[in-house]
Amino acid sequence: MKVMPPATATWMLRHLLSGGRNEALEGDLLEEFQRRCSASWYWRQVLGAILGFSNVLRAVWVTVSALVFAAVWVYGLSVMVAFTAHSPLQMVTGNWIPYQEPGWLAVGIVFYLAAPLSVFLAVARNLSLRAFTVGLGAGAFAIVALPAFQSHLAIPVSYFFEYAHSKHWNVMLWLCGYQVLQGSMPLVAAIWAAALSKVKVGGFDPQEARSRASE
Amino acid sequence: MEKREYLGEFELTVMLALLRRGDDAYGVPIAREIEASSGREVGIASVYAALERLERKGFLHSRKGEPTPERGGRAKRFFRVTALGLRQVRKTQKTLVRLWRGLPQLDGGQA
Repeated sequence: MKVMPPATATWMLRHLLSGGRNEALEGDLLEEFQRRCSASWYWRQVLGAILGFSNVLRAVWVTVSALVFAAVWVYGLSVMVAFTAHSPLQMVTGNWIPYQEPGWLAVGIVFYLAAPLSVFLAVARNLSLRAFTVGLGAGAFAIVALPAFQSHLAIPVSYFFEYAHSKHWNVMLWLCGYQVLQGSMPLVAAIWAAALSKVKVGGFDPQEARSRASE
Repeated sequence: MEKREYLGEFELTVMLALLRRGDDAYGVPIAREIEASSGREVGIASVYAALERLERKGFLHSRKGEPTPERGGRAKRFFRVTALGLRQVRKTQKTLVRLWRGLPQLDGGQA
């Protein structure tokens, strides 16, 4: 009796492969599956084909996942601050974070550095000292470029809610744009730094992928 | 035109496996040949990615075979090394042999 590979994996191989269907690859995987009879092997091969067959697709996938991560981090942080600014915790501590105190200032810097650094590591997928240093540099650049981001994150967000309540839409839109700009800067800096670093990890080289795409 | 006319490590492995298999070389036997010599699992898609790169460089030529029932009616794609590809393998071999010679760090370093 002929053993059939997982139907979902076969469907993914047919429909999600970059550059359209590859009949020879599908046939090869089916042939080898008949010999091995291992669903896990078949899944590994299919996922490897979808994510790794095209370096360009892989580069896009890594970048998109990094963007989603960064968006959740940066904007999630803004929402969290907006809510906690009106919480009992805020009433006890007074202002959101007293940055005038050195300890809190350090916490704030680490907090804001974490976003670009995480994005950088996600893009570069490299935990080497070099990657860490460049990511840290990108985060520092973001902080220097936007000192307001460091000192008063909570204030524009609380203004946002205040003006939304009083229906001053123009002010609200301006603040919204300000937030987007603030959130984007560390992200742009991190991706830029990752692209410049030319790191090559696990056989994946962003520079090489770009040169292949342009051929 | 010297544009990208070099062989990467995996590309060279694929070329050598292909030369070993001869005219019946398609994805599965090439992957098996590499697995047998390296002792590790090889992604068939990775082999295809390398084969397509090598074909674009002019080092390989491919032809489509007949569809077979055991492959769900899907045709095989047979590959063979071109004269240019063979020259490139020899060139890479010479370079590696020159680099290999006289290295005290490598036990039996003579290629």
